[in-house]
Amino acid sequence: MADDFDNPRDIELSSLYAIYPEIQQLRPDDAYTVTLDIPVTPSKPVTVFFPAAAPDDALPLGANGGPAGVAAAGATEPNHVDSHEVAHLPSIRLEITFGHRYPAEQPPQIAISTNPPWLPAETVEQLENDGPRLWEEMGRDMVGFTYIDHVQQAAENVFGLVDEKGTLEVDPRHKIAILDYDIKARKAAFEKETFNCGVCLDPKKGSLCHRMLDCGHVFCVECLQDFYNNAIKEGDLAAVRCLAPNCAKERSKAMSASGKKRKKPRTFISPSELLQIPLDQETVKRYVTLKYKTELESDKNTVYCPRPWCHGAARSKKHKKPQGLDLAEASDESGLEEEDDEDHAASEGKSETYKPAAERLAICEECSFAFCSRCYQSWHGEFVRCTPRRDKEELTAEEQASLEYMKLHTTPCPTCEAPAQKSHGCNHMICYRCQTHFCYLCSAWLDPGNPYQHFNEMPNGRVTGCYMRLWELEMGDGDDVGYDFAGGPGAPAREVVPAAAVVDVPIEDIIHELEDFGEEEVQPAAPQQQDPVLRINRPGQAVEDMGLEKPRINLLWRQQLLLIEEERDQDEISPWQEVEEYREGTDVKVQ
Amino acid sequence: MASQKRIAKELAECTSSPPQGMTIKLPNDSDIHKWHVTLEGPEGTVYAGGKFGIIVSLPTDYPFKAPSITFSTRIYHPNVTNDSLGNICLGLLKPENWKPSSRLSSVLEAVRALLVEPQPDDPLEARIADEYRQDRKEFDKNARSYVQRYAKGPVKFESGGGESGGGSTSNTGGGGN
Repeated sequence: MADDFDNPRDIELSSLYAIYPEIQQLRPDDAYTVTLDIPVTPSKPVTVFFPAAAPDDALPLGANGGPAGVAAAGATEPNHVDSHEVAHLPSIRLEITFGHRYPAEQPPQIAISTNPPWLPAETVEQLENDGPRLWEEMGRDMVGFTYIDHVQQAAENVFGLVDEKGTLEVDPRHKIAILDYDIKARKAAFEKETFNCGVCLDPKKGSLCHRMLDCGHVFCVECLQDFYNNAIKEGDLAAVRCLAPNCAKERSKAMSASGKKRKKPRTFISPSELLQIPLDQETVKRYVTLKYKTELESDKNTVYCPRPWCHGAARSKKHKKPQGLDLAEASDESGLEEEDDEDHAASEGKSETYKPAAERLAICEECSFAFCSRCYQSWHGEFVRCTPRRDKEELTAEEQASLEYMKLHTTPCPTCEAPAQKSHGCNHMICYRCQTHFCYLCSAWLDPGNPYQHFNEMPNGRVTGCYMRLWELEMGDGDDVGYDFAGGPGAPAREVVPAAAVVDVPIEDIIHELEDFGEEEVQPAAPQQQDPVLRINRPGQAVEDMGLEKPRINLLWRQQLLLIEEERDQDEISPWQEVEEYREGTDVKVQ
Repeated sequence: MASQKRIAKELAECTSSPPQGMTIKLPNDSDIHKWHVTLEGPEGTVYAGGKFGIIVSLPTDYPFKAPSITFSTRIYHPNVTNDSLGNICLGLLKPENWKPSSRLSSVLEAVRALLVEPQPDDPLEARIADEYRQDRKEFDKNARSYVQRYAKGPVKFESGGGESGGGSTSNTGGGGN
């Protein structure tokens, strides 16, 4: 062992192993060749450019890259399109051999490699030569630590390859490998960290957390799954957004500060991110479908297929049907971008009847049925005169009843006409479908910034018809809704109403109730749910309007509310029927 | 459930370092979904010297759904209904604004901030808001008299219990008093 002790190579190696525990012996039979991976993590993330690979200049660039090459390429090719911010570059592998005449007579032999070979050959050569140079400078002594330290420091500014603008150019052939490495390294760093989840308030390891792609807030996967699964199940799409308070506000502030004022920051979460969290494929699928459906439904110009068993939407350029989960994201985004044009399109589309004939051709995206968007017959060519289908005639009694009920107890959103029924609270409403703020009493648009102005005195002293009426109908509109409504006579919803439940309320009772009404305070709809007796909570509403049918109507309507997610347009007349009648009554040639 | 654990945490945090001027108690130790908060009227405001009861009800799916917060002590304020319900208009409690990572302590602080600085432009009681803007003296007088009448003495937490006065659940907003 005295021999070992004397051997300076062993002394040096044992101290190197102590300092860099990740050092490894390259070959089992050679104790004096070691390898070490040195991470290249610049102090600030660098912007890496991948110049478009023109077939002929790809080669020379790869061969003689380096600072000179970068400058030249930068000059000839000013449009760096493909740039990415990278925090971790693939690490450098050092291979050091301490020969048997080291350190006295022989410098260490050094080989440097990277995978992929993104480092320009010149830089590699220079780094390799630094070993012998330092060894000389130290007076031919043990140089191992000094050298490794030197390479580590050089790695911090990426060996001087980064220009003053913080950009680095790399051969595009290595693009995927480099970006991949960066993602993995970032992920590894993230997983080592600990975060306090803002929802469950527990500290969680990064590996159990998810960082929101758009805003960077971190929550634990469990809470995100719980929340989003629940929101998507309930159809509350607007809730599928970052869970941090004021997140969107802060980002829009940051954006307007940086001068980009044009667009609101994206608040919803892309399906692909939901899958990353991860959420079930099924759930994400539902999210995509629902999102697409609300998008269609909030567009008044959407045309639906007349086939009664189909009811699919007609193909449109604006709303692309999501194909699988990935494409849906693109369609979402395009939908968002075009939102600005929507009003535009709506005003154009208003006079639907005067659409140029060729544009009346609609093709169902579900069943590919080609039909006329005006008369809802199968497509008859451009040169046939047709008339729009008739509306709101020949409704069945049920449909009529539903319509009546909706007229009485719902208020349409002024933007998308989705009916809203208030269950409780004040008359400032926000449409569940398109988020428009409106007044429940008169359906007027309200300024989201100051919605209550409508119920107050205007600055000019004038008042609207809804002055001081913010809290009218506080307990809900209709006697089958409200805070305390426990399900009522109709629940569970899908059950068919037994004939007996369709109440025969003696007219005297109603009159009696009405008289009561005049004398007493309005009662909250709560207590007596068992007996489906007609109750009226709206002063000034004519009894005749409601009629004896009312309790039954409510049930129907409630069923509909529940069905609304699944089936569209319950109360629409079957256009098919219409078409048949129309054909009989007119003399149109069907081609 | 995760909900219980989080509530327990928040409760511990709020009892050990309660928001300014507040004390928090559970009316029923086995139910951490209902909190009784006693808020001292902030100094330098018309509410100073009064003690207000606030009832915090946490839904079972808290924090996914917003808590509901009501005053059980009547208070003369543009943003609190002038009845025995004591509903509060607070932006961050609206379902569409609620974020699961909002904390109760910040909600309670927001309630207190509302007493320090009423928001007459976003009122629940339009008449009181108008009075606040146009006749501040009268408003101050009314608010103080409410404090004298309702917010002195032991704090009550049962809402609507036996309180007399104009408070009915009538439908006409802002009509009270």
